[in-house]
Amino acid sequence: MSGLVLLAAILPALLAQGHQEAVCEQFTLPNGSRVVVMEEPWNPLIAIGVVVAAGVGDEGIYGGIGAVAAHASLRGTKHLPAASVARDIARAGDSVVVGREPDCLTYTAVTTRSAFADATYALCQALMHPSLDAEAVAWARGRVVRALEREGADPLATATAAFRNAAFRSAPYGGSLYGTRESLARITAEVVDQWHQAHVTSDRTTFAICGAIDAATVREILTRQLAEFTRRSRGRFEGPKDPERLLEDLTVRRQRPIHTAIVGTGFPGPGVSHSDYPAFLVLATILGGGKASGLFQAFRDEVGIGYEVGAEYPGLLAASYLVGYLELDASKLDDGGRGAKTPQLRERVRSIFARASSVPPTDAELRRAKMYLRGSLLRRTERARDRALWAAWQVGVARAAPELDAFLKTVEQVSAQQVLEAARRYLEKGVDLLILPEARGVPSP
Amino acid sequence: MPSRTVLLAVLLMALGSCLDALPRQSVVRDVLPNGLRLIVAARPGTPLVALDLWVRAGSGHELDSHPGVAHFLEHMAFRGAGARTSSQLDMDAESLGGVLNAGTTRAGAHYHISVPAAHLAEALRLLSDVVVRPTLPEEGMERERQVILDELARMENSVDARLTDALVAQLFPNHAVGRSLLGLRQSVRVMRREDIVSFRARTYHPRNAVLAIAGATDVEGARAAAAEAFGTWAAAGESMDAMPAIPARPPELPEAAWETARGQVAAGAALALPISEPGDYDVVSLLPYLLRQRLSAGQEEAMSLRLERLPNHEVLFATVAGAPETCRAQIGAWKSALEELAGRGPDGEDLAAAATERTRDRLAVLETAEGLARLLAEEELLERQADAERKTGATQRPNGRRLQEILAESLRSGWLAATLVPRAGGPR
Repeated sequence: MSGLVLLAAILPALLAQGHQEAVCEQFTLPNGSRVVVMEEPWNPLIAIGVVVAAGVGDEGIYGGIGAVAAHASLRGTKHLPAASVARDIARAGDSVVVGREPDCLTYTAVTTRSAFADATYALCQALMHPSLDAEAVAWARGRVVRALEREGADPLATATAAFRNAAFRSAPYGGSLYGTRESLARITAEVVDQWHQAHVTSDRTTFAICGAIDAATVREILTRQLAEFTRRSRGRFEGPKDPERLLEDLTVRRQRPIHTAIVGTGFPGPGVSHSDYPAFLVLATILGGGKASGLFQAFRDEVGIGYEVGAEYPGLLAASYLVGYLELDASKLDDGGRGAKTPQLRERVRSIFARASSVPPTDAELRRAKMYLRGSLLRRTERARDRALWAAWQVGVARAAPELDAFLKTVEQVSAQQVLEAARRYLEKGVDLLILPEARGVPSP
Repeated sequence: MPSRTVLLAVLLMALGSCLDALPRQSVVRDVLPNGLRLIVAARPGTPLVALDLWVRAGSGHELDSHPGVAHFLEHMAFRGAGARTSSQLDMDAESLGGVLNAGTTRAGAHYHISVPAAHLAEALRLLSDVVVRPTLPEEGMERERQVILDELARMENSVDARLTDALVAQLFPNHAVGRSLLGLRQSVRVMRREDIVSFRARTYHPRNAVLAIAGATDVEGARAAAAEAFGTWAAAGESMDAMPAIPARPPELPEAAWETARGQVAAGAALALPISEPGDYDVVSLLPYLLRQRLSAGQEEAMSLRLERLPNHEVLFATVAGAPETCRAQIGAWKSALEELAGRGPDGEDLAAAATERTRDRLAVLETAEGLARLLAEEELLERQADAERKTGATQRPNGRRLQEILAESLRSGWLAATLVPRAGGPR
C-alpha cells in the first residue's frame, strides 16, 4: 500500500475515534531488546518509538557521532539500497524521523496496521545492518553541521550551552549534541561503523508501539525481524561516567551580532533516575514553568522586562541543571552589560531562587505547578508518535514505568516540604549567566 | 501488478471517497444569537479540549496612524480581564492544566487555550474574559510596551522575520498587510491606551470572530458552554471586516541588489498568488511540495519554503542563506521551477506525491486538538469554510490545471519580489 492510500485511509477513523484506556504490556525479546506495547484499539494510527541508550557519554573524541550515525543509518542498509529503504519508509507512511538526545538516539515512525510490518522492517534493518558508507556518512554529517549552526544562532540555546559547559566542562553533557566542526570533521565512515556496532546494540534498544495492535502480534513480528540483532554492549548503560559539576562563578559568552541579551542563573539539578527528580521537577515549574511561575511574574508581569522568561530543566539521566533566564533587548543593558542594570537583574533572579530555599511553596503554587505539569505532559504526548517515544524513553533511559498515569501520580505525591528540601539541596550555589551581542560583548574570562 | 497510471487512479479514488464521508461526521458549525460563529469538532480520542478564538483584527486591519496596535492589544488583553488581575489570569489558566496564550497575524488575532477535558467550561470563561472583558489598565501600558520592545529585538535576530518584512513591504507597499506585524519601534513607543481602545471598538465584535472547540467534548455540551461564556458579548456594527481590499495588481518591484552585496547574506523571494475561486487556497497549498520535487537535494535542503494566507491572496516565501552568488542561484532555481510549473503544469504522478506529503504534514497537526481547533477557526476566519472542511480530511483531489492557471496569472502579473539582507544582525 502506498503512503497516499495509507494516510488517507486513517483520517476518517482518526477524527471519529473514541477514548478508552490503553492496555500496556512490557516484555523482553530473546535478544535482550525491550518492548512496550500500548494497545489502543480505537486508534487508526500505529506509532513506533525506538530508543537506543547510546548517549553523548559514548562519543569520546568523536563528538556528534551519534547524530551522524542515526541519520546515516536510514541511507541504505547492507541488504537494501538507499532507494529501497526510502521506498519502505514511504510505504510505511513516509514519517520516519531520527533524533539525538543527550542519553539516547531516537527513531519514530507513524503507520497503520496494514503497513506496520513494513515500517518495523525498515527500522530493524537500519538498526541492525546500516551500510554506513562514505556517501551516507557525508550526507549525515552535512545535516548535523546544519543542526550545529542552527543551535549557534539561537541565543537561548547558546545560553544553556554556556551553562552546560560551565557546569560539566569536558564531561560529556558539557558539549553540544552535535559535537563541534572539528570533531565532526574527524568522523569517517569506518569510525561510524565501529561506533554503531559497539553502541547500537540489542540490549540498549527499546521499542514502544502505540496503537491498534496487540502485544502478541508485536512480539511475533519483532522477534522475527530482529533475529539477527544479537550484538550486545559491554556494560549496562548508566549515562555519562563523569557528570561531576565544575561550576564557575561567572560565564560571559560573546555571540554573533544579535539584538538580545540573556541574563540568567544556573544551578545543578538531579538526573531523572534520582529520587529527588519529581520534587525538583515541581520546584523548577514553580520557579520557571509557565506564565504563573515566579520568574515570569517577577519580570514580565510585574516589571515589564523580558519577552522570553522562564527556566530550563532538561531530563538528563546522570545529572542535570536548572537555568532561569530572561531574554531582553540588549540595548536596555547599560554600558554593554557592565553598568548597574545587569547586576540588578541578576540579583532579582537570584532572589527568586533564594526564596524557594527559605520558604515552602504555598498550596496554590504547588497545585498550579502540578496541574501545569499534568497539562503540559498531556499536550506533549497527545500524538501517538510522542506517546510511543515517551514510553520508550521511560523504559529504555529512565528505567521507569511507561504509563503516563504512573508518572503523573509520582508528581502528584510531591509535598511542599519535599520541594523545599530539594531547593535547599541544589540551589545553594549558582552560576550567573550573561549572553551579550558581540558588539557589546565583554571578553570571556 | 497494475500499471502506475491505474494504481494512481485507484489511489485518487480512495482519497476522494474518504473525504466525501469525513467532514459531515465530525465538524459542526453554528452561529450564536450575537453573531459569533462557532465550530465544534468532537474528538474524544484525546484527553484534552482546545479552544481557539480568532478575531478579524490583525495587523492588516490597522490604520496607517497606528502600526502595531493589533499586536499591542493582544498583549494588553492579558493585563487583566473581568474580575481577574494579570497574574490571576495566568494562575487560573495553569491551575486548570492549560496555558492561555495569543498570537497576531496579518489576517487576525487569536486567543487560545487547551485543557484537560473536564475544564472546558472554566477555560471558556477565561477566554471570554480576555477577549470580551479586558480591563486594558493604563498602568499596564508601559510594562507591556517594554515587553514588546524586547520582542521586537528578538524578531530582529531572526533572518526569516527580517526577510518576510522586507518582502511583504515590497509586494504590498500601500496596504497594512505590507507592514511588520509588531509595528515599528517608534510606533510602539508612542502607542496610547486610547489608540488600543479605539482599534478594539472597531474590530472586536462577535460577528467578526470565530470560536473553534476541538477535542474531548460533545457537540451539545460545547455549544451550551460557549453560549454561556460568550452569549453576553454584545453584537455591534454592520461591516465587520475593516481590512481594505489588497490591490489586484502588483506595484513596480525593485531588483534585488545581488551585484553590490558582500559577505554572508540571507536572500528571500516571495510570490503573491491571487485567490479568486473556492478551493484555490487548497490547490495552492500543494505548491511547496511540488517545488521541492523540482529542486535538487542540495537546493531543497538549503531552502526554506512556506506559505502565508491573506484575504484573497496566498504568499509563497522562499529563503536561503550564504554567499550572494549562491543565494542568487538558489532563488533562480526556485523561480525556474515556478515557471516550469506555470508552463507545463504538474503531472498526475507529481500531484499525487505532493498530496501524500501534504497529508502527512497535516496529519501531524490534526492529531492534536490544538492543531485542529486552530485550523478550523483560521480557515473560517478567512471565509474558506469549504476548504476547511476538506482539510479536516487532509486531502482534496489535487487540481493541477487550476494550480497552473493561478501560477501563470501571478507570474504574468509580476507578483514576484526578491531581496537580500545581512545574515546576522540587521540594522536598527
